[in-house]
Amino acid sequence: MKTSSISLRVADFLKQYPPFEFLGLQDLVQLAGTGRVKFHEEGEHVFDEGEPRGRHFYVIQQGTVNLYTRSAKGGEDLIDVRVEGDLLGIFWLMGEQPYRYTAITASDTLLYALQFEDFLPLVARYPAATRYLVDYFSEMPASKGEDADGSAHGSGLGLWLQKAGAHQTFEPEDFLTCAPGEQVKEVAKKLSRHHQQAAVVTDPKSCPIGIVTEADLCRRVATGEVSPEAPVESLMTSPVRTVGPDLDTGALLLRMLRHRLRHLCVTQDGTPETPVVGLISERELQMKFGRLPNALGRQILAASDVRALSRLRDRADQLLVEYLESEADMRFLIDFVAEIDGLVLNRALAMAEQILLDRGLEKPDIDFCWLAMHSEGRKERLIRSSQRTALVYADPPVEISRYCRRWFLHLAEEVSHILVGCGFPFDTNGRLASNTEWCQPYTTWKAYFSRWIHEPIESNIVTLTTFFDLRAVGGNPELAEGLRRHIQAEIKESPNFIPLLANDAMANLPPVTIFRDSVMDKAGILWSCIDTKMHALYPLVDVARVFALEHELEDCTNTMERFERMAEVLPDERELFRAASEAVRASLALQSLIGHHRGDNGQFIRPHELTKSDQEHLKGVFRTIVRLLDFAAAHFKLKQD
Amino acid sequence: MNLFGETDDIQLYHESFEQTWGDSDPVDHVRFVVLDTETTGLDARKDAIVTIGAVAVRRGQIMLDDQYEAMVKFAFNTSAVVVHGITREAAQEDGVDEPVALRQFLAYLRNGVIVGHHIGFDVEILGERCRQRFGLDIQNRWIDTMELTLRLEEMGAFPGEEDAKKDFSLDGLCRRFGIPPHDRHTAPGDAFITAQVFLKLLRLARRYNLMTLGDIAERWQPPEERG
Repeated sequence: MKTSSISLRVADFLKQYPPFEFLGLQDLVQLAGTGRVKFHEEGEHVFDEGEPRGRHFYVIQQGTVNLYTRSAKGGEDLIDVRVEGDLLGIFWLMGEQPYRYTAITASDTLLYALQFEDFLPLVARYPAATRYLVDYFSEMPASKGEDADGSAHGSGLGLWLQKAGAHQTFEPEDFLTCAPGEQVKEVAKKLSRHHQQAAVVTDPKSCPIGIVTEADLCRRVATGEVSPEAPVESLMTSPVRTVGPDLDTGALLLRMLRHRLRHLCVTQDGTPETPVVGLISERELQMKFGRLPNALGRQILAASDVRALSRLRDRADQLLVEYLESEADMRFLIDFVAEIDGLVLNRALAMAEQILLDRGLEKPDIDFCWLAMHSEGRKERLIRSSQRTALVYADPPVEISRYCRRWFLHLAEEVSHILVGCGFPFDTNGRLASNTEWCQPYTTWKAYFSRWIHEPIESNIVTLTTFFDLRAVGGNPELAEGLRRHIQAEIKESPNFIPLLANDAMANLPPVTIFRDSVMDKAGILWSCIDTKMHALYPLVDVARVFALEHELEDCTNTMERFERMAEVLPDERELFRAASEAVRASLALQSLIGHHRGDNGQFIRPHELTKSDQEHLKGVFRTIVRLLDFAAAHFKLKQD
Repeated sequence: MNLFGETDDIQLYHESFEQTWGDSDPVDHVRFVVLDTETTGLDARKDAIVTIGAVAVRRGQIMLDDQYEAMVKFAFNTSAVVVHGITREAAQEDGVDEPVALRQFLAYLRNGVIVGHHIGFDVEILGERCRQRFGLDIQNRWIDTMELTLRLEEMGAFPGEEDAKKDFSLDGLCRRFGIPPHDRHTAPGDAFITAQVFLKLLRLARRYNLMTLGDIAERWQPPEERG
């Protein structure tokens, strides 16, 4: 007789870790039942790189295992550290190949050896386990929003919408009703008078029996099919689709998509048997999610003082966190934040100008452009961090140049103070438009860039690279465009500039791995935190900038966009650049979500703040960065150490 | 084969010893069966077996596809119920009759070298039950992990600790080797834990040049009994 208490204990252990946590216990018991338990003392080889794979893969029950690959120079590079619950020596999909690394125990280690031939068919039956392995094996897994499988759990597009909370924006009073006997032309007048697109046809108890829309009027009345004198019940669509008042926005959108409806009628209990309480239009939902919430934008531009402006900016952050948590598309988010901050800046500019005029200063008739630098320049400032700004103004006639300088400095000073009031602190290094050095006429700015590009080492270019991410956010954008053209022309004249910049871009390396509560860098030093900036964003940002400058993509400053454009410029490396773009997205999302939750800048993350899946995800980001840096080094012919 | 054309478990058991391991066989060649039993009491002559749990170790690995487990029907509840938690009623419901369990176990055990912590009693009661049921003498060699630990200790395998702190009970060894001791006092649970301890002891034994079955199976004797 064969029963399975021991297999059950093994299964219980496995059940704590992905991908096994996604498998049924009975399946795990069977999997464990053909397995083995192995013990290794510290310093033993579990398997060696290049050795043919056995029938088993391993799960660490206890202990630590280091993974090494042979380096080009013949030594061994530590590439990962695996601990309890981690997989070892597994292959999947890419077929049975020799081991790709050497596994050496770093402490006494107990391993569960499980059979591939039992495991692989099992995983195929559990989509969540399959997805985990996809993550595990890919360098940069597909973003969670893309792997829609249409399952009942509503993954894919629906996922983030469904998490967005109950849809609260419909105005209970703000909809039209009419009786079935009313003439079509009367209803049309009502619609036009109230600027509505649709009216609900109700019975005497206010229960919905149909719906009439503008589209019906166009399609059937204007064409003569239905007479304007006919009762509206001959035109209405019936029965009407109803929903309850507590459905979330995502569910509403999906329902409209499914039934190809533009309107949903909200009733007290969601059935047509109770009175109508509202009407939701597709247009309204799309306004909420498809583009910038217009109301917020209008309010910002109408804000009367700094306090009002600051409150509205807070509201934008609330929306942002909501979007982040629901895994909204990052491209939408960066545009959303950039738009909001652009509006805030423009409102601040208008306020500042008024303050100066009130003081009796006279506004010079000289164009200027307010420049965002650094992460704001790249549209990557999802958390309110220090202002890094500059101001360029058109070259003024000599006789008013001193006055212009005074005016713009005062203007910048006022704007900076308003922005501080909105939660954007001053840059501690004074990289601000209100600093004389960074508030200059066009010609001076051009001279700055010329010097930096031609004498990069003397100018200490490392500290100036973010000026190459400049983006116009206020005033006349032509001045910014002129500067960019100038930069590009100067770079052409200075062939050493790009390689130098590329070399500097290699300064920040991602860590080798994350395990337990530590992060290990290439030198083997353990750190307690992941530094989202130094470890992930900076190397990506710096490399993207070099490529963008080399390929004259001066009009785009966003790192994701830069990589996507590079994927078109160098189609052979399309996959790498797309992975890099995805790595940026993942790092930004992680940094901003954790930052918003903790109320800091999200730069330092302790490994325990991440789920095991997120850790795998982040390791994928690191692997992509390493590959990107390797490619960049070869591309710019840098000497690799 | 018996009259019904079925292979007789007991005959199979005997046959397996026609060719078996000797003292000079390397440890890696041997099939060890790590064993634990829970019983109604501590008198091998009178008490009954409640559960048997066993798992094989070969080439330094616990073979999860080579395990055995049985609950045996027994006649009386005893105070040992509080240790193993199996009542007579539960055993009556889920258990198998003792002769069936013993036959199955012998067919599973074959000539495997029995391993266990304080295994002497388990071997004794199994032997007693088999003798009473089938008139059969258990022929298997056995290794007590407790004795193996004590021998390794004398060789200096556990240095730097005061004698008083040397806890070589199964729980103590679990702590020493970092093996989570959950599921203690079920026969399969204890067998599995003991097997993990045994893997570590085998490794230590190799370090002290105990390479053959004879080397590791040698009995430990208290110093005062040695000549």
